[in-house]
This record gives sequence, C-alpha cells and structure tokens, in this order.
Amino acid sequence: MNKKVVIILFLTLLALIGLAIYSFGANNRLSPKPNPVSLNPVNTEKVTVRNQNITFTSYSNKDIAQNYYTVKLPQDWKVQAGKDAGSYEMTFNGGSGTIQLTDVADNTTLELMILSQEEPNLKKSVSDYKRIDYQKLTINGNEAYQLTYQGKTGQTDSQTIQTYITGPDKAGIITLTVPQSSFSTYQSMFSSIIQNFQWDSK
Amino acid sequence: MFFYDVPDVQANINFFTSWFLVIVGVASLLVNLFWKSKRKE
Repeated sequence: MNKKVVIILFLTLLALIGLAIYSFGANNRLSPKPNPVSLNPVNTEKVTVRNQNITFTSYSNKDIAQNYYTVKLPQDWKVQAGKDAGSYEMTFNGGSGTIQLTDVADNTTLELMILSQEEPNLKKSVSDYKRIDYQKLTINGNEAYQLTYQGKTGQTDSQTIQTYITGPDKAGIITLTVPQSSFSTYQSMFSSIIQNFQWDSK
Repeated sequence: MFFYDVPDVQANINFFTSWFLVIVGVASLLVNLFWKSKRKE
C-alpha cells in the first residue's frame, strides 16, 4: 500500500468515528433541547377535588415541535424538567410522578406497544409487579390507555397509574406513584390531572 | 419531506447508515484511483 492509500484509509476512519459521534452522541443532531419556557407557570386556577379546593398551576411544554402540550398540576407539587426534552418530573408529599413523550413506531399501535413492550418491561423492572386495572379512555378527544399496577418502590408497597395518550406525533405518558395505602386518597386528584392533559396545536 | 414519521432513534440509524455508505464509497473510489500495483513488464 502506498502512502496516499494509507492517508485515505486513516481519514476515512476518522470521518466514520466523527459520523458515529454526530449521529449517536449525547448532543446528537436530532436531540432536542428543552425550552426554558416549559417550566414557567402559565396560570393558576382553583379546582374542587373531593370537596377540597386545590390550586392547580398550568405548565405549557414547548420543548419538541409538533408535541406541545399543557398540563395542570397542584401548586404545592415540586415540578422540574425531566431527563429528556418534553418531560417533567414531579414530587409531592407522599409520591412522585413524571410526564414524558414517547415515539410510537409505524409498525405498531400505541395499545400494542403498551401490551407487548411497556408492560413486559415493567414486569421485569418493578419488584412484585401486579396489574390492577387496564382501561381505554378518552382524554380531551384523544384515545388513551390507562394501566394501574402495584409494585415495590424501595421498601414501600406502591401503586402507580400510568396513562398513555395518543397525540399528533408522539404519545404522552403520565405516570403517578403513591404508597398503596394512600392511593384512594389521591385517585380523584390524579384523575383530574390526567383529564386536563391537552395537546396544544402550536 | 418524509413519506412517514420515523421514530428519532431509527432516524439517527438511517442518517448514520446513509453517510457511512457515502464515506466508504468515496474512500473506495479514491483507494482504487491511487492504488499502485507493482507489475513487472
């Protein structure tokens, strides 16, 4: 092999390494950046839940184009940006939750993805996983699928309600977890949060 | 621009594969151009 060929092969190798980093690296070309506006409360309103007046704060997530949405969360919950763009992590007295976006591949449907991928993954990752309920519902005109399950979070027996909501591009997932003993107390509030999830047209 | 919506992870794989083939193809042409085979005539 002559010198020119060796140089070409070396440059090709460098180009391929650079391409791999550009395509799959942490700040890859398709990785959207969170928009700081998503953490700004939009407005507040008082809602009666189980004969209690609770103040809800609206958040409008504008991280990922075509996937803007608005959620209403209790004002006393601690809300911060999630790990991925388009997501929130919430903590509150006695529980935690997340709201995130997920891709649904074109060779499947959201419901099939839940039953064939998501739930099997939960069975592997959640200790003492036990399905309590699964139902189809409609949230602001969008088809949704709700899975309620019990498991162990650390030493605590917990119950989680996970709602998958179809959207124009990605699907939204609202996950709310509390200790099993207090699930019935939170159920109405969770239902209110879930039913108030709204895709924004812009 | 796209015929159908491709999930982000698959879009990254498609991007990598396309440009991998382009880079390797160009490199192959250049190697073929500059390869000197020693022939005794």
